[in-house]
Amino acid sequence: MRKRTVGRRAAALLATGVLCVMAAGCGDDDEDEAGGGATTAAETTAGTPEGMLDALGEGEGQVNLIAWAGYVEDGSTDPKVDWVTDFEKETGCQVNVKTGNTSDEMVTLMRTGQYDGVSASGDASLRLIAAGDVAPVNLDLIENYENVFDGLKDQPHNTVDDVPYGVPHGRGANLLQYRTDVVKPAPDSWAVVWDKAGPYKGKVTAYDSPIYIADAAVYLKATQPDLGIEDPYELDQEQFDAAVELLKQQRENIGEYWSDYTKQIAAFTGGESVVGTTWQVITNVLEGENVPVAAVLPKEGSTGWSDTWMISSKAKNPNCMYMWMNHIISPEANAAATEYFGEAPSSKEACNLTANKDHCTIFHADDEEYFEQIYYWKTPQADCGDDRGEVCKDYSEWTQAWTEIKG
Amino acid sequence: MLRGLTSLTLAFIYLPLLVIFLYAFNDRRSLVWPIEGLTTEWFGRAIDNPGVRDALLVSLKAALGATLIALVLGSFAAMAVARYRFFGRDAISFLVILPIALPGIVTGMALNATFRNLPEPLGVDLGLFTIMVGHATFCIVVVYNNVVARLRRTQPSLGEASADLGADTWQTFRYITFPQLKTALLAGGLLAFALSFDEVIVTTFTAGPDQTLPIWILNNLSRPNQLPIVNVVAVFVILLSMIPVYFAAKLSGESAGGGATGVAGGAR
Amino acid sequence: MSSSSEGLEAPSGESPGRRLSTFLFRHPRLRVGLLLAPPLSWLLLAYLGSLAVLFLAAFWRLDPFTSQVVHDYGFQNFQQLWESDVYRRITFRTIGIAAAVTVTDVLLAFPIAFYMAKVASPRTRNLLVVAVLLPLWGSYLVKVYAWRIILQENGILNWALDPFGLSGPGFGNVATWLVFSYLWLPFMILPVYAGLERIPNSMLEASADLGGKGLRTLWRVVLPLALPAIAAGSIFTFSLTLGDYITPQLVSSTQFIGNVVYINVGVANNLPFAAAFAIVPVLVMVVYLLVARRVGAFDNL
Repeated sequence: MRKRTVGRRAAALLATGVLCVMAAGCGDDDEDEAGGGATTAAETTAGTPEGMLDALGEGEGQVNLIAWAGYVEDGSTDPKVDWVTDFEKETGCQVNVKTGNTSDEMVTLMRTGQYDGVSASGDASLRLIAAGDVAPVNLDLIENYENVFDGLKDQPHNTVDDVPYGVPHGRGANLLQYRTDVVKPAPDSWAVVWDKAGPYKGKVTAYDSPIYIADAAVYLKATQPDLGIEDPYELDQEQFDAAVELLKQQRENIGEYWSDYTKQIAAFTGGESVVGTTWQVITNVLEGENVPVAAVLPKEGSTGWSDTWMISSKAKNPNCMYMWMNHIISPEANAAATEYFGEAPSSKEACNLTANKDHCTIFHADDEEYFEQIYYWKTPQADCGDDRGEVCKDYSEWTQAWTEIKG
Repeated sequence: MLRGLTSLTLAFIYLPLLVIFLYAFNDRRSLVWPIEGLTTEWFGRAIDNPGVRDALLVSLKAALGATLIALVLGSFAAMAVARYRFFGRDAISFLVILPIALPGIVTGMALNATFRNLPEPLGVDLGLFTIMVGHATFCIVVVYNNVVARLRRTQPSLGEASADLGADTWQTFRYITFPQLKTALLAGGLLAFALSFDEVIVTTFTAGPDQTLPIWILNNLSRPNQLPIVNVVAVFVILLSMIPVYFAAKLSGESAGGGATGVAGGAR
Repeated sequence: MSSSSEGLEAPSGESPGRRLSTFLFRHPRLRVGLLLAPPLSWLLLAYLGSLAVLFLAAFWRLDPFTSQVVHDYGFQNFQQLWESDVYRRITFRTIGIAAAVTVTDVLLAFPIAFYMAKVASPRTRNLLVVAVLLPLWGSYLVKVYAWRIILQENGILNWALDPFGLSGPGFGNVATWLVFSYLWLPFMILPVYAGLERIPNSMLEASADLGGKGLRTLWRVVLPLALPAIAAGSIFTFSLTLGDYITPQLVSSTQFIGNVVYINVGVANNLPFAAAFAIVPVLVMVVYLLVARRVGAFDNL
């Protein structure tokens, strides 16, 4: 699987060493560098930020990726679903992908330093940047980047101090899914999983991750405006406590929390769950299996995700990684990938290439107003980013609160 | 009455396996009951799937390596404990069983942190080697127990007699000790192999980008399109393993107590 | 003795191998040392060393502003674990289910183990051993998913119980107890079988001669003799349940110790907290092992 010839190892070590030293992220010591990680992002000076590749070289022959299930399809799931094989032929970079089920897993895997890149959601990306696990990206080396929707460029979840850390794969929303034969009338508000969940007690489902606290915050933003929630990821003590309280109440109606989507598919098919958060791709699979479901974006808005392809600060195959990043945002690949998964593409041209001509309309690909209502996953940090200062709850506190909520 | 209870227990043990077997032929992708149609499509897909083949290869290599290491280390420790008296002898059994008795996630986290934080010259990447190391650590006890049990039942006087007859240490080992241990080592080795083959928690932390078969299954269980293939793979492995299991059972029968541990700690 | 063997040695025909082996023969302590060095260095240095470092991390803390681990020794993690009662609840829940699983497995394993040890013919016995061992080769994950199919809302169990107007437990604590009991059953059957096999039949006959009826013999004679073997099997059923996090996630929404540890190691990056909580099952197991050793389990593994 991994050839370890001396020459290749030496070259890789050299490249890695250079990248490493510059990104100050020889992550082995992330436990020793108290402030080391935080300064990485701040090390931007006029000129090339440290750790960024200057020029594209020859492909190294392979690239090791961590990705969400369904993001890197090479025909082995379904022969018609493949945007990898032609990449491999063109560049000679053999693609090896490891599926991550949650952002937690992806961060843990990236930290090992043995992967070249990851499709990181917003709750993982800032964590990776802060820890020095990913390197800044030289967008000049990625020719397809100019074709990306403006609404996806320079986003706070992947750009720090004007330094870009990746290229966007696409964006999508967490939707409200329900069994049309059980949940009537058709809901248009998240209330059906919060205070109006009573009739469906024991059959409500929610995403099993601390980041779900933000969904409670989104609901509170609409229903309790005097809490003053602006950004559902920047919650101070009072806002946080209100969200946690809401979640503890919801717990009594929850049948099961889902983290891998097979579980959700089985739950909706079998009838364990009749209403709850979902991804479009799950709805597509269920509809394909003739299960009576529908999904809707409720009026309060929703959390969502925009995944960014990021390159490891210890990437052993940086050139192949850059080539992959360029490939996945190229119109053809991006159209195929985002249509399969069920999200809006990042590439403008992709809209002309999707099999379903309405794909971009359905997913509001260039509807920036729509995406104003979507709060992309983002790692909560202590620094509120506004005039409240550093009083917000950071992710480790979200995690502990989540443990208490689940009980 | 005893026979009835035994049959019931066996039925209980095999019911889920029958379910797996049934669902390998399910023509729908989702896990609904009752099954509506049957198909053998997944068998073909499983054989063609390169991911399965690679994962199977990695699993076999890792299990082989781990077994060899465990055989050496386990028998060394067993010989020391069974034949000599020394300070801390009782603690050895305790030490040896720790890796299997402590939660897999603890062992995994600890080894993972160590591997990642070793200084550069010793530094290892997570991969096949680290998988082997992780597995060997909890496989040692399997071999150890088998060999200790066997040594307890054989007489040390045979070794002394051999020495009296002029054999040196190597010859005694080769002609006397080793034949006595052979079946115990084989039984222990087979069971260590089984342990390593199905392990998932420690492997998650020590595998890096390499995929063993259980890791492949874990990755693919969350992809509904691959679910039926996973069932096929499981059925395959069970059927294939009937042969080594049969031999392990026969050999374990001879070293009665030792056989049990080999089995223990398997599905982690 | 040494002088006579020296006298017997032919100085010129002595190979280095032979000389080494004689040397070893005369220095038993060196032999032990050489035998013990590889396994001990592996286990002590690599394994225990790693564990020690991990538990050292339990005293560090996570800096919320930089999200980095700070080597600031203190009891803050333990304080947090103590203050919030959810961790106590999770711990007791995990230990409780582990105990329930152990008891269940003993009850389930005993009949079949007894049958295999005392009643079955040698051929049947071999077949039964194979039959018990075989399920272990079926992947753990696939078996748990099979149980999902059985236990789910429209699953096999409910379908079977429906005509009687009953319904299964669905997912939850009962489901985890069921699935764990199922998964670890072979690990209980085999040591108990081995232990029962070692009880001489003459003992059972003697007890019968003395007037002990079936159940009495069982209670007074067989059980005490089989206790070490039962203890040995229980080490595995208990420890495997204690540390597992995959099954609870798949057949319930409840949290076990392993789930909390796992979730804190990921995006939360809170290794110190995860390590602190991980100490709990380790301590529990160490105590359990010490008790089991007392009862004689280690000779029956």
